[in-house]
Amino acid sequence: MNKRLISTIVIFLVLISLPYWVYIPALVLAIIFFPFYWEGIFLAFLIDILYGDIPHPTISLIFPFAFYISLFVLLLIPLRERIRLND
Amino acid sequence: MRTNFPLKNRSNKTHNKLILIVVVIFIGGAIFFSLTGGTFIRILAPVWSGETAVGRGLNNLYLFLRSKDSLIKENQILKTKVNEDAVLLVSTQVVANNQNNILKDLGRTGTKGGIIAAVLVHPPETPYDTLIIDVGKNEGISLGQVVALTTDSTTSIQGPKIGIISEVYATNSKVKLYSASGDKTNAVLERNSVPVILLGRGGGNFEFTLPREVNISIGDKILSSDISHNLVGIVRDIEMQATDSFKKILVVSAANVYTTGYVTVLK
Repeated sequence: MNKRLISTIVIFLVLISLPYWVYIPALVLAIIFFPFYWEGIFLAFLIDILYGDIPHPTISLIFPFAFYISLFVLLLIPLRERIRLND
Repeated sequence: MRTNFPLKNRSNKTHNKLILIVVVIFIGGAIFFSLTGGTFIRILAPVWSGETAVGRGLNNLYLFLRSKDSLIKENQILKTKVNEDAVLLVSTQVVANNQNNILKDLGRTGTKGGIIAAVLVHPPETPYDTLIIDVGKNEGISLGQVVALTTDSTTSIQGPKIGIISEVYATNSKVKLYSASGDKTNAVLERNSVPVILLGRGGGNFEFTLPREVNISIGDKILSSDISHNLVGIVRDIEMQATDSFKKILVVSAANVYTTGYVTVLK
């Protein structure tokens, strides 16, 4: 099992058992640490659907936390390139 | 030769591809989770119930391991508090009975009864002010029902109303608390019956504004605007500058949402 998969599973377990001030920073750190951590977007959707007030069962694009995490992932794409150091 | 200048920028094509992937994941995820949200809650409900049981067990173990002296001291403090509260409860019960009789004479009956539900998830596990409870459509729960803190079924006193049912599944429901960020709740000041609109700030907190001339103090009670006049919150702080025409009142919910174990879904 690679680190990315283990991290996703750990964050999922933390998400269903620990307070938000544990799993949200963990998710943000995982997005920063792993390149293009798209799994974080799904975890953010999970947070919105489990704990948020989303209209159900209509199809809705109102997932605020997932939206901001998606933006954060997008923001990190060019940023990671720019801060990379080369030998 | 070693260098430490950044690579030339990759072509925009790679970035555009990644951006497109994120957008597709977002839209696909939104559709998928909209349709299957209830399934995840149904799957995780037994896990949350188990966590609650494990938490209680660990708490009992902790109590078992605590020193005898500290337990004796805590027992004495709690006994005194229980005796004081028993006296207060009797007088409050008299007031509640009088109120119910007056309402009955005027052709209005107070809301009584409901379905008691265990709280599976509460803040701070939820970043939003929501609770997940273990009753749903199968128990006759429907959208919009009001939820109150559970009180002793032998008294006629209803606990404070804390929210409404916002989502219903087969065996679970989601309660949106009145203190959810951005939500507005009508209420009344106990002191001078001034109607106010409480704005939720999250974490069991509210705020509202009053003209500076209106009297209010820390500790004043905020009551619900319906005929039952249940306690909604207590004033905790007042913010006002010398030149302001209005003052901002900060209110904390009467119900401790961080430790709520049982709630009643009112009929």
